[in-house]
Amino acid sequence: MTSPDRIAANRGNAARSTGPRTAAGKRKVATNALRHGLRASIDADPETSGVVARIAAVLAGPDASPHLRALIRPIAEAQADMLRIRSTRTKLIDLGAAANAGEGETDPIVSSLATLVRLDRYERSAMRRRQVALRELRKSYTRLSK
Amino acid sequence: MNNTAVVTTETNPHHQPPPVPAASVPAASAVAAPAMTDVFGKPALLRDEDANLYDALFSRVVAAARPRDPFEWMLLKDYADLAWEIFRLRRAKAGFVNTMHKNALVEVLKKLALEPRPALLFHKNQEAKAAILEQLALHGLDEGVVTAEAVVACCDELALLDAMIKSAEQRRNAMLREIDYHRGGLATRLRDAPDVVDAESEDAPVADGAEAQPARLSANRR
Repeated sequence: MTSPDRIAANRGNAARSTGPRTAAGKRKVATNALRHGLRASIDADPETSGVVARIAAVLAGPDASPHLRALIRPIAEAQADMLRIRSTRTKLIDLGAAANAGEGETDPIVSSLATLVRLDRYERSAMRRRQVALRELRKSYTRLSK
Repeated sequence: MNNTAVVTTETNPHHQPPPVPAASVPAASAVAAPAMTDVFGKPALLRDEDANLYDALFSRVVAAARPRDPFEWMLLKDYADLAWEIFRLRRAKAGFVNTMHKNALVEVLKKLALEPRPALLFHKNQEAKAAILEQLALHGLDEGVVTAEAVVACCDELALLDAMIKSAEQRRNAMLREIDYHRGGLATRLRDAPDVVDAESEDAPVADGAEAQPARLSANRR
């Protein structure tokens, strides 16, 4: 168990160091925990949120009700995630190819295998989310059509 | 929009096609290919992959499936992307084994207590190749032993590549089931489409400088 002295010391240390105070410092540490951004909220990424809006608009059609739009939104989000992951994958492999240029012996896919396996996991996850959302949509229409 | 309307498509002996919102199912002509490809953006291709080959694959998939609504376009796009990913991984695997072949030949010659230097000429000089194969034949071996040595040297990477290929195939098959579920009978016609494109891509011209990776696609990119 932590001793009272240790707790007091920790509190004292924390009070003296509570992270960056300037705007520049805060900006710098804002992405400290960011590893690849693939699990970031789609709303935080203007490019992907634009893709989501376009996919949702095409899937729902021009006269969609709010109910239909709500059902279609997660399908579009999952689809946009999948497209984002695929784009990330090719950029990663191209980067590996550029980094290995001249060495000639290392295939960029092979040299990035560990990361590609992790990306695969994300893609499967996005695909499952879309599958679930598609089934929700169908279930909803089955209920409404009865 | 009328939320209660449903469209049922082709009949399937195994299950009823799922209901699809009528308002989200425009007529075929209303869902033009360029409009849909705009929605999904440019295909995610490597810089040395040929966009024309991807387009050929997607066109064949679309021709085989004749998508009738945006949902089908979305599923078919995934199907084409996954088929492309499988081709890419298979080529990476073959290219990797080829790359390892040279090192493996050196190892084989060392194991047989033979001079390893001629291995450098194996792929460049027919006489050197014949001499090495002759030496291997004296030990009752052939070129296959070099491939075996190469596979052993990179089996960890090959296992990962195989796992990724299997994963992509599972997802592609899941996509077929999803498409089947969406529209009965469609997936059956699709199953033959990528094989045709695969065969065509094997014959595709390889760009200059692609010799180091003979199994990759050509270098032209749109």
